[in-house]
Amino acid sequence: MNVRRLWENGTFMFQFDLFRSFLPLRNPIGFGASDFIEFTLAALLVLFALMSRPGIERYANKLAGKTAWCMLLLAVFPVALRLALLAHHPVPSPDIYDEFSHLLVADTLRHFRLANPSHPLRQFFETFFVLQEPAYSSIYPIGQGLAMALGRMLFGIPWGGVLLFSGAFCALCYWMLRGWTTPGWALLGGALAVIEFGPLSQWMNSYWGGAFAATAGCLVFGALPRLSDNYRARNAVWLGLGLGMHLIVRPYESIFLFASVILFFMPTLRQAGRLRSLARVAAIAVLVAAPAVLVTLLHDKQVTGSWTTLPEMLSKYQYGVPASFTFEADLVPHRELTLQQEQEYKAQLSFRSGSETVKSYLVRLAYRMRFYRFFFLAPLYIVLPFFLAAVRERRFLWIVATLLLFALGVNFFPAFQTHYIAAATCLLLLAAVTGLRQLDRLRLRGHPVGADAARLIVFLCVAHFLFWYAMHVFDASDVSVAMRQYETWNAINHRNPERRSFVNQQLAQTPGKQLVIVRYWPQHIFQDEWVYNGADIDDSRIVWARDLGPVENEKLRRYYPDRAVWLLEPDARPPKLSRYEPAPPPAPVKVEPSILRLEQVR
Amino acid sequence: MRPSDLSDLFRLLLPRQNPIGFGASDLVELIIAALLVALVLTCRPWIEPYARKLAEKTGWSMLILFLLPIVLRLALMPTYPVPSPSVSDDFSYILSADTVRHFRLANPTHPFHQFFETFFVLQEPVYSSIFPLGQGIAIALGWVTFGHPWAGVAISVGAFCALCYWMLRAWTTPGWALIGGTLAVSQFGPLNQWMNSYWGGAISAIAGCLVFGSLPRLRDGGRRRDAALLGAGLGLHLLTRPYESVFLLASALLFFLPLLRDRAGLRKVLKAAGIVVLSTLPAVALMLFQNHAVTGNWTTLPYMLSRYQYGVPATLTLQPNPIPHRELTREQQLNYEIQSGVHGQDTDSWSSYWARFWNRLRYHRFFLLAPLYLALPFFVVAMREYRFAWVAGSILLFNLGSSFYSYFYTHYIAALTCLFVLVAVAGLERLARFNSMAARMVLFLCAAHFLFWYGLHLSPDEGLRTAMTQYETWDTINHGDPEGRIAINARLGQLPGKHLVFVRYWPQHDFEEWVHNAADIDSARVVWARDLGTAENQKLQRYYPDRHVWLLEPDFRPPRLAPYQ
Repeated sequence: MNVRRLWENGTFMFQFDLFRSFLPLRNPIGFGASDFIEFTLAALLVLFALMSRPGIERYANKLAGKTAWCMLLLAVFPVALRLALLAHHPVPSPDIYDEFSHLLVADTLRHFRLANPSHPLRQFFETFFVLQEPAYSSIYPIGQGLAMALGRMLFGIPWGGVLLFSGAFCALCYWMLRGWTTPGWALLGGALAVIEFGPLSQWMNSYWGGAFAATAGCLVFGALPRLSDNYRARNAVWLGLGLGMHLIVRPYESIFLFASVILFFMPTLRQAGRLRSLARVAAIAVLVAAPAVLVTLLHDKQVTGSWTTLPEMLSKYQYGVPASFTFEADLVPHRELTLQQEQEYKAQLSFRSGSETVKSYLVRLAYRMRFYRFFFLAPLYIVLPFFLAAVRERRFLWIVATLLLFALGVNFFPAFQTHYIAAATCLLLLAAVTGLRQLDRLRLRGHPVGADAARLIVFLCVAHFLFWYAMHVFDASDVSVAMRQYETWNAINHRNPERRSFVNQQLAQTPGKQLVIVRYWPQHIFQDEWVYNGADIDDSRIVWARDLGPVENEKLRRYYPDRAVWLLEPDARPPKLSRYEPAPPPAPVKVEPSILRLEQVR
Repeated sequence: MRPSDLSDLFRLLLPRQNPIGFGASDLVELIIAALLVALVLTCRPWIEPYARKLAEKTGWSMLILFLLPIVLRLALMPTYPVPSPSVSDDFSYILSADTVRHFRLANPTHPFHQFFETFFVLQEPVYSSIFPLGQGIAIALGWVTFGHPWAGVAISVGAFCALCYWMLRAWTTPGWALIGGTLAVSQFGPLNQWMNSYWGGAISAIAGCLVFGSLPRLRDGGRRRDAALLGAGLGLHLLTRPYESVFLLASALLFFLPLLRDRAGLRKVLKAAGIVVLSTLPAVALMLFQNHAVTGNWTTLPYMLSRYQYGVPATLTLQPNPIPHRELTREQQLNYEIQSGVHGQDTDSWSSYWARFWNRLRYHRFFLLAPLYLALPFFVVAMREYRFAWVAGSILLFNLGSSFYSYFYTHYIAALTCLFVLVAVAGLERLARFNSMAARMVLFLCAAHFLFWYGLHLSPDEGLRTAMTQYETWDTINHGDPEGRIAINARLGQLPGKHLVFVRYWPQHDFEEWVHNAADIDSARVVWARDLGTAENQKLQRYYPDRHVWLLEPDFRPPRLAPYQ
């Protein structure tokens, strides 16, 4: 009897029914919810223990020495695991406005441009984090967009680029760790990267970035120890490439990345004999990073008209967002804002709690400790004290200093997202792996007990991943529904933005070109923006425009005479899409900005 | 960092509201990981060498295993005080203990016995519990020695854990026997229902240990001491679970089946059989005396008379439902109807019997922690040996036998408890031969399970306890005072003098009974009586002229105690 038949005749379903009821006496084997979890954990741990030493470890040790194979596997593994979930979790749909803005970059690059000409009726297309003048462009650097443009070119969808760099990050994490530790531990670090930043991670399930900057971090932090060993030109190329990549994705944090590189070579500066080699590799690195600097300057010029003004800086001047650094004065917009833009401006202002003091700075720093859970699974917290024991070595002390530098540096910005410090991800993994390695060496009263303890922690991490991954494989099961409320930090798309999908499906069924006029109701949540357009607005099959009233709307209708015109009211439940009738809209009501900011609560 | 700060750290279990970004599942994961790592780090350097040494010292091991569950339970006293009896069976066992404490097997019928009608208590021909004496004797022993009936329960649980190790010594190595004893402490110790009620379990489990521990010893050595212990075990079990004793005796006989081919061995065992019978006799005699004292007939058990008079407890499923031969109170009638309903209108069919048999598999979780289920397949491997096949056979026999009764509680098959521990230990032993790390993992998880829940109950943080204990399964440490009995008893305890409490149920009252009295009702400080109406109540008031009279309405929320008007 094949598996499919077993499934169809209910043999497999019985296995799941077995655990469906979590009330012990209603469950055929008397298991409660905690028993079920405990049993699963026990089964996984026993399985690992049975397979570990004779099987997995032997093969893993053999494999760990084969760099190319390891990198290939680690690149393919997270992507394959995510693709296997497509049945329940389809290709992520953009939802947050940062995502749409990065997608605009990608689309702009796909048209082989760094900026798009300003639209003659641009007032209809005002949205968040997008400049309309002097050019129509995203306010973001091109890094994340470049990745997605690449993905779109290769695989037909921008998410292909997200997958590509998630895989690249996991592979390069192993490569980076090879510069710091033994092949076996490096492979373990790569596997941890798959578990933590793979199919269930926010970075892989959004268009917001993370993996691209993390990949850059791997190149930089992987090249450094290699360079300190042999000053080979190849490693200088990797260093330059990493620095360049990071510059085009997180320009501000690149300062700290660059500073940490300098810090790494500080001891070498005292060794006159090595200065020459150092200068040579520095020159190569600068040369490799130069295209990134050039493209940044060119991007600035194209978007803002000035070589040294970043698009983000112009957005700050025009729209007053993103918020300024905490040591700077409050921004003042120099442009007429839409109601939603004004509310966003006020919301961003509210992130700043008055003028910065040492106390407010430290309070914010302490508050952000919670975000580090994104980088460490709970069992890995146990090995962090063991990492501190390794800090006696200068290179590990440098890791602590670099992490501190990033944490202190980004703390000058009032908001925080994990991808701000994505470059340091491989260092955080290195800290975990080093902690595990230190624990592994631990002997108590002559017994090598540390090895078992380290093994146990790794088993628990793997069990953690398998458990939650399985919950998503059996996404529709009652068990999964009951358990998923306890899943933390994973951000695989549950119920993809249904409202957007619903409207998009309706529009997709209509042939020809469309113009959608978006009318918000007075109680509209300002962050729920619907007006996002492609790089070439006029050529897009669907053009999304703000409702500016019958008179103004008429101009746009005349501009697009061949398009079917729709009115979208996203605040209806479900969103209402109807043929546009030029009737007077209700008078706008002033609404106080909501304290809700999607990107903060997501 | 102060402990309260630490507790605050985990109070908010929404990741972004928690200072270190931990959600509930992260917290649990970290605690489990920390416990497991601590066990891994300390096991081989410290725990194992000391445990190995200790395991060889039978006396010390038994003493420690005896004390450990009691001490651990006593340590929980600030949050979980001495368990208060709550179900009717609890009260009936306490009546049995009180009767024994007065050096009686039954009490004279009270002249106003209609006021004292309750569950599982006979009023005529004598005033007595319907249950066998075993559990009552244990409670009485603790009551007399330490001044509180629960002491008997705690001591019996301690004795069971110690004897579990003793039993396992005859089946496995000292080290594994000690592991088994420790598993018994974690499963049947401070958090267990048997320790936290008066309903029994531990006494039958002790009897099981004596029987199943002496069987292999007797077969191997044929010593008189082991025969005496076997007899004592069988006798003790007869005094607690007479019906299930049939299966215990059958399994004991089955154990010696292979000796039919071994003449010398058989002769040795037959020689000891006399001592076995002799040491069982006191229990048989005691039972007969109790029957005679309570029912007036040497062979009629008190609960058989209860079945005739009150229609409860339900009959075996092979028998038709009993018919009460006495006027029942409303609550007794309700209880009778429910028990008859559970039994079913008709006698058993094959399908209903098997359905009941399979349904009861869930109760075996009580005897095995979830990770120990992983040891079961390895035990199956061990069943190639006759002795382990016999263990499986005995468990099956008890299950088949107890399935003829419509109700099931874990203490019905408590005698098997040590066999369940043996199954787990034997399975783990086989697993350890194959991969010691895997066996260690299972044991560590069992230890982590216990430490986690015990630690949670020990925690002074009520919020954390409330949040987590909803996921605790099968442990039954007394949670609060849902019926309000403790509060009422405390209030009466503060009042001087003697009291008479009339209990008045409201029409919607179910059969939660409050009328439970001591063996010597007239001498009791508090007498609980049914409210039979003003005229009848006055008779009782006149009978107790020196008592303060109260009216209790348990259906009030919380129950209302007021002076009787």
